[in-house]
Amino acid sequence: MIKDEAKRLLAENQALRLEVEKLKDELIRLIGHNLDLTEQLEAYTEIRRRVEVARELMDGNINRQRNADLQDDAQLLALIELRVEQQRLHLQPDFDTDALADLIGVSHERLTRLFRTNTIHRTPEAYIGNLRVLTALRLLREKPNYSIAAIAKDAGFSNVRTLQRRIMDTIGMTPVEYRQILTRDI
Amino acid sequence: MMNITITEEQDRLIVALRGDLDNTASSQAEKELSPVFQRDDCDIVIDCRELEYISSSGLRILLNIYKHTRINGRRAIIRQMSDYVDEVMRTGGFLQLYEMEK
Repeated sequence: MIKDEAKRLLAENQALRLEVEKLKDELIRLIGHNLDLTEQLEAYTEIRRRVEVARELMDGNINRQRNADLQDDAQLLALIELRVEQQRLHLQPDFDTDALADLIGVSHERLTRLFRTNTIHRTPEAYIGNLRVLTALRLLREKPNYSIAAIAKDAGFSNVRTLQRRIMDTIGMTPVEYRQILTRDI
Repeated sequence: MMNITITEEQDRLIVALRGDLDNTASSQAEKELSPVFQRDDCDIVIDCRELEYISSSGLRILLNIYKHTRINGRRAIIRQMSDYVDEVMRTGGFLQLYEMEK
Protein backbone atom coordinates (compact mmCIF):
# COMPACT_ATOMS: atom_id res chain seq x y z
CA MET A 1 0.00 0.00 0.00
CA ILE A 2 2.76 2.42 1.07
CA LYS A 3 4.86 1.19 -1.82
CA ASP A 4 2.04 1.95 -4.23
CA GLU A 5 1.64 5.39 -2.76
CA ALA A 6 5.39 6.04 -3.05
CA LYS A 7 5.30 4.84 -6.64
CA ARG A 8 2.39 7.13 -7.41
CA LEU A 9 4.15 10.10 -5.78
CA LEU A 10 7.32 9.37 -7.70
CA ALA A 11 5.40 9.24 -10.96
CA GLU A 12 3.64 12.45 -10.08
CA ASN A 13 6.99 14.05 -9.19
CA GLN A 14 8.43 12.89 -12.51
CA ALA A 15 5.46 14.30 -14.43
CA LEU A 16 5.81 17.63 -12.61
CA ARG A 17 9.52 17.78 -13.38
CA LEU A 18 8.76 17.21 -17.04
CA GLU A 19 6.13 19.91 -16.90
CA VAL A 20 8.64 22.34 -15.32
CA GLU A 21 11.17 21.54 -18.04
CA LYS A 22 8.56 22.15 -20.73
CA LEU A 23 7.64 25.48 -19.15
CA LYS A 24 11.32 26.43 -19.02
CA ASP A 25 11.68 25.61 -22.70
CA GLU A 26 8.70 27.80 -23.43
CA LEU A 27 10.12 30.58 -21.24
CA ILE A 28 13.45 30.42 -23.08
CA ARG A 29 11.62 30.63 -26.39
CA LEU A 30 9.60 33.64 -25.20
CA ILE A 31 12.64 35.45 -23.83
CA GLY A 32 14.45 34.87 -27.14
CA HIS A 33 11.44 36.17 -29.03
CA ASN A 34 11.26 39.21 -26.73
CA LEU A 35 14.94 39.93 -27.46
CA ASP A 36 14.31 39.59 -31.22
CA LEU A 37 11.51 42.15 -30.97
CA THR A 38 13.62 44.50 -28.84
CA GLU A 39 16.45 44.33 -31.37
CA GLN A 40 14.02 44.98 -34.24
CA LEU A 41 12.69 47.99 -32.36
CA GLU A 42 16.23 49.26 -31.75
CA ALA A 43 17.06 48.81 -35.45
CA TYR A 44 13.86 50.64 -36.42
CA THR A 45 14.68 53.51 -34.02
CA GLU A 46 18.18 53.69 -35.49
CA ILE A 47 16.77 53.86 -39.03
CA ARG A 48 14.42 56.67 -37.98
CA ARG A 49 17.35 58.56 -36.41
CA ARG A 50 19.36 58.17 -39.61
CA VAL A 51 16.44 59.41 -41.71
CA GLU A 52 16.23 62.49 -39.45
CA VAL A 53 19.96 63.16 -39.86
CA ALA A 54 19.71 62.70 -43.64
CA ARG A 55 16.76 65.11 -43.76
CA GLU A 56 18.70 67.73 -41.78
CA LEU A 57 21.70 67.35 -44.09
CA MET A 58 19.41 67.70 -47.11
CA ASP A 59 17.83 70.89 -45.71
CA GLY A 60 21.33 72.26 -45.03
CA ASN A 61 22.38 71.50 -48.61
CA ILE A 62 19.28 73.17 -50.02
CA ASN A 63 20.12 76.33 -48.03
CA ARG A 64 23.75 76.24 -49.14
CA GLN A 65 22.60 75.81 -52.74
CA ARG A 66 20.28 78.78 -52.34
CA ASN A 67 23.14 80.94 -51.06
CA ALA A 68 25.50 79.65 -53.73
CA ASP A 69 23.22 81.30 -56.27
CA LEU A 70 24.20 84.62 -54.68
CA GLN A 71 27.93 84.26 -55.12
CA ASP A 72 28.00 87.22 -57.50
CA ASP A 73 29.30 90.24 -55.51
CA ALA A 74 27.00 92.80 -57.11
CA GLN A 75 23.97 90.61 -56.40
CA LEU A 76 25.03 90.15 -52.79
CA LEU A 77 25.56 93.87 -52.23
CA ALA A 78 22.19 94.66 -53.80
CA LEU A 79 20.59 92.11 -51.52
CA ILE A 80 22.32 93.63 -48.46
CA GLU A 81 21.16 97.14 -49.34
CA LEU A 82 17.65 95.91 -49.99
CA ARG A 83 17.35 93.95 -46.75
CA VAL A 84 19.18 96.36 -44.40
CA GLU A 85 17.98 99.68 -45.69
CA GLN A 86 14.37 98.67 -46.38
CA GLN A 87 13.97 97.01 -43.00
CA ARG A 88 16.11 99.73 -41.33
CA LEU A 89 18.06 97.06 -39.48
CA HIS A 90 20.91 99.50 -38.72
CA LEU A 91 18.61 101.22 -36.24
CA GLN A 92 19.04 98.24 -33.92
CA PRO A 93 22.17 98.84 -31.78
CA ASP A 94 23.06 95.11 -31.77
CA PHE A 95 22.96 94.77 -35.56
CA ASP A 96 26.58 93.96 -36.44
CA THR A 97 28.71 92.05 -38.98
CA ASP A 98 27.68 88.65 -37.61
CA ALA A 99 23.98 89.58 -37.72
CA LEU A 100 24.40 90.80 -41.31
CA ALA A 101 26.23 87.59 -42.31
CA ASP A 102 23.43 85.51 -40.77
CA LEU A 103 20.79 87.59 -42.50
CA ILE A 104 22.33 87.14 -45.94
CA GLY A 105 23.41 83.54 -45.34
CA VAL A 106 27.15 83.95 -45.98
CA SER A 107 30.17 83.53 -43.74
CA HIS A 108 31.71 86.38 -41.74
CA GLU A 109 34.85 86.08 -43.92
CA ARG A 110 32.92 86.20 -47.18
CA LEU A 111 31.10 89.34 -46.03
CA THR A 112 34.30 91.07 -44.92
CA ARG A 113 35.96 90.24 -48.26
CA LEU A 114 32.93 91.50 -50.17
CA PHE A 115 33.08 94.91 -48.46
CA ARG A 116 36.86 95.19 -48.70
CA THR A 117 36.91 94.68 -52.47
CA ASN A 118 33.65 96.30 -53.54
CA THR A 119 32.74 99.26 -51.34
CA ILE A 120 34.11 102.56 -50.19
CA HIS A 121 33.21 101.58 -46.65
CA ARG A 122 35.81 98.78 -46.65
CA THR A 123 34.13 96.95 -43.74
CA PRO A 124 30.56 95.91 -42.87
CA GLU A 125 30.91 97.81 -39.55
CA ALA A 126 31.73 101.02 -41.42
CA TYR A 127 28.76 100.49 -43.75
CA ILE A 128 26.35 100.00 -40.82
CA GLY A 129 27.97 102.92 -38.92
CA ASN A 130 27.59 105.18 -41.96
CA LEU A 131 23.87 104.39 -42.21
CA ARG A 132 23.53 105.34 -38.53
CA VAL A 133 25.40 108.64 -39.07
CA LEU A 134 23.15 109.50 -42.04
CA THR A 135 20.07 108.73 -39.94
CA ALA A 136 21.39 110.84 -37.05
CA LEU A 137 22.14 113.81 -39.37
CA ARG A 138 18.64 113.56 -40.84
CA LEU A 139 17.11 113.50 -37.35
CA LEU A 140 19.25 116.50 -36.29
CA ARG A 141 17.83 118.40 -39.25
CA GLU A 142 14.23 117.22 -39.05
CA LYS A 143 13.70 117.00 -35.28
CA PRO A 144 15.12 120.15 -33.67
CA ASN A 145 13.34 119.31 -30.40
CA TYR A 146 14.90 115.87 -30.00
CA SER A 147 17.71 115.61 -27.45
CA ILE A 148 21.09 114.27 -28.62
CA ALA A 149 20.50 111.20 -26.43
CA ALA A 150 17.15 110.53 -28.12
CA ILE A 151 18.74 110.87 -31.55
CA ALA A 152 21.58 108.51 -30.59
CA LYS A 153 19.00 105.96 -29.47
CA ASP A 154 16.76 106.32 -32.54
CA ALA A 155 19.69 106.14 -34.95
CA GLY A 156 20.91 102.85 -33.49
CA PHE A 157 23.97 104.12 -31.55
CA SER A 158 24.70 102.29 -28.34
CA ASN A 159 25.49 105.59 -26.55
CA VAL A 160 25.80 109.38 -27.00
CA ARG A 161 29.61 109.35 -26.99
CA THR A 162 29.73 107.04 -30.01
CA LEU A 163 27.25 109.26 -31.84
CA GLN A 164 29.33 112.37 -31.09
CA ARG A 165 32.56 110.73 -32.17
CA ARG A 166 31.10 109.37 -35.41
CA ILE A 167 29.49 112.70 -36.36
CA MET A 168 32.77 114.50 -35.62
CA ASP A 169 34.68 111.98 -37.76
CA THR A 170 32.24 112.37 -40.63
CA ILE A 171 31.50 116.11 -40.80
CA GLY A 172 34.16 117.61 -38.53
CA MET A 173 31.80 119.10 -35.97
CA THR A 174 29.69 118.04 -33.01
CA PRO A 175 25.95 117.30 -33.32
CA VAL A 176 25.18 120.52 -31.42
CA GLU A 177 27.39 122.61 -33.76
CA TYR A 178 25.71 120.97 -36.78
CA ARG A 179 22.32 121.93 -35.41
CA GLN A 180 23.45 125.52 -34.72
CA ILE A 181 24.67 125.91 -38.32
CA LEU A 182 21.34 124.68 -39.62
CA THR A 183 19.43 127.13 -37.39
CA ARG A 184 21.68 130.01 -38.48
CA ASP A 185 21.14 129.17 -42.14
CA ILE A 186 17.38 129.23 -41.68
CA MET B 1 33.79 50.30 -21.44
CA MET B 2 33.38 46.59 -20.78
CA ASN B 3 35.69 44.29 -18.90
CA ILE B 4 35.30 40.54 -18.41
CA THR B 5 37.28 38.21 -16.19
CA ILE B 6 36.80 34.46 -15.99
CA THR B 7 38.08 32.56 -12.96
CA GLU B 8 37.59 29.03 -11.69
CA GLU B 9 36.45 28.24 -8.20
CA GLN B 10 36.08 24.51 -7.33
CA ASP B 11 33.46 23.22 -9.79
CA ARG B 12 32.31 26.70 -10.75
CA LEU B 13 33.31 29.12 -13.46
CA ILE B 14 32.99 32.70 -12.24
CA VAL B 15 32.32 35.23 -15.01
CA ALA B 16 32.68 38.81 -13.70
CA LEU B 17 31.13 41.48 -15.93
CA ARG B 18 32.21 45.07 -15.37
CA GLY B 19 31.00 48.32 -16.94
CA ASP B 20 28.53 48.58 -19.82
CA LEU B 21 27.50 45.48 -21.74
CA ASP B 22 25.93 47.50 -24.55
CA ASN B 23 25.38 46.64 -28.21
CA THR B 24 28.87 47.84 -29.16
CA ALA B 25 30.58 45.83 -26.41
CA SER B 26 28.54 42.67 -27.02
CA SER B 27 30.42 41.29 -30.03
CA GLN B 28 33.73 41.65 -28.18
CA ALA B 29 32.13 40.12 -25.05
CA GLU B 30 30.92 37.14 -27.09
CA LYS B 31 34.51 36.45 -28.22
CA GLU B 32 35.88 36.80 -24.70
CA LEU B 33 33.22 34.45 -23.37
CA SER B 34 33.89 31.68 -25.90
CA PRO B 35 35.91 29.62 -23.31
CA VAL B 36 32.73 29.44 -21.20
CA PHE B 37 30.95 27.59 -24.00
CA GLN B 38 33.75 25.05 -24.18
CA ARG B 39 33.22 23.97 -20.58
CA ASP B 40 30.50 21.44 -19.82
CA ASP B 41 31.78 20.26 -16.48
CA CYS B 42 30.98 23.15 -14.21
CA ASP B 43 28.28 25.51 -13.01
CA ILE B 44 28.51 29.06 -14.28
CA VAL B 45 28.24 32.05 -11.97
CA ILE B 46 27.69 35.46 -13.58
CA ASP B 47 29.04 38.08 -11.19
CA CYS B 48 27.15 41.32 -11.91
CA ARG B 49 28.44 43.32 -8.93
CA GLU B 50 30.13 45.87 -11.22
CA LEU B 51 27.86 45.56 -14.23
CA GLU B 52 26.32 48.98 -14.79
CA TYR B 53 24.32 48.55 -17.99
CA ILE B 54 23.09 45.65 -20.10
CA SER B 55 21.46 45.90 -23.53
CA SER B 56 19.32 43.40 -25.44
CA SER B 57 22.40 41.90 -27.11
CA GLY B 58 24.00 41.52 -23.66
CA LEU B 59 20.87 39.73 -22.44
CA ARG B 60 21.07 37.43 -25.45
CA ILE B 61 24.56 36.36 -24.35
CA LEU B 62 23.19 35.55 -20.88
CA LEU B 63 20.37 33.56 -22.49
CA ASN B 64 22.90 31.55 -24.51
CA ILE B 65 24.98 30.88 -21.39
CA TYR B 66 21.85 29.65 -19.63
CA LYS B 67 20.97 27.35 -22.55
CA HIS B 68 24.52 25.97 -22.49
CA THR B 69 24.36 25.08 -18.78
CA ARG B 70 20.91 23.59 -19.20
CA ILE B 71 22.01 21.26 -22.01
CA ASN B 72 24.88 20.10 -19.80
CA GLY B 73 22.70 19.67 -16.73
CA ARG B 74 24.66 22.33 -14.83
CA ARG B 75 23.49 25.32 -12.81
CA ALA B 76 23.42 28.91 -14.00
CA ILE B 77 23.70 31.46 -11.22
CA ILE B 78 23.61 35.24 -11.07
CA ARG B 79 25.49 36.89 -8.24
CA GLN B 80 24.86 40.43 -6.99
CA MET B 81 23.28 43.00 -9.24
CA SER B 82 22.72 46.74 -9.14
CA ASP B 83 19.08 47.84 -8.86
CA TYR B 84 19.06 48.80 -12.54
CA VAL B 85 20.43 45.46 -13.78
CA ASP B 86 18.09 43.65 -11.36
CA GLU B 87 15.12 45.42 -12.92
CA VAL B 88 16.23 44.64 -16.49
CA MET B 89 16.77 40.95 -15.63
CA ARG B 90 13.46 40.73 -13.81
CA THR B 91 11.52 42.37 -16.65
CA GLY B 92 13.26 40.17 -19.20
CA GLY B 93 12.29 36.97 -17.33
CA PHE B 94 15.89 36.04 -16.53
CA LEU B 95 15.33 35.70 -12.81
CA GLN B 96 13.03 32.75 -13.55
CA LEU B 97 15.87 30.98 -15.37
CA TYR B 98 19.00 31.86 -13.40
CA GLU B 99 19.37 31.03 -9.74
CA MET B 100 20.16 33.96 -7.50
CA GLU B 101 23.07 34.18 -5.14
CA LYS B 102 23.75 37.10 -2.80
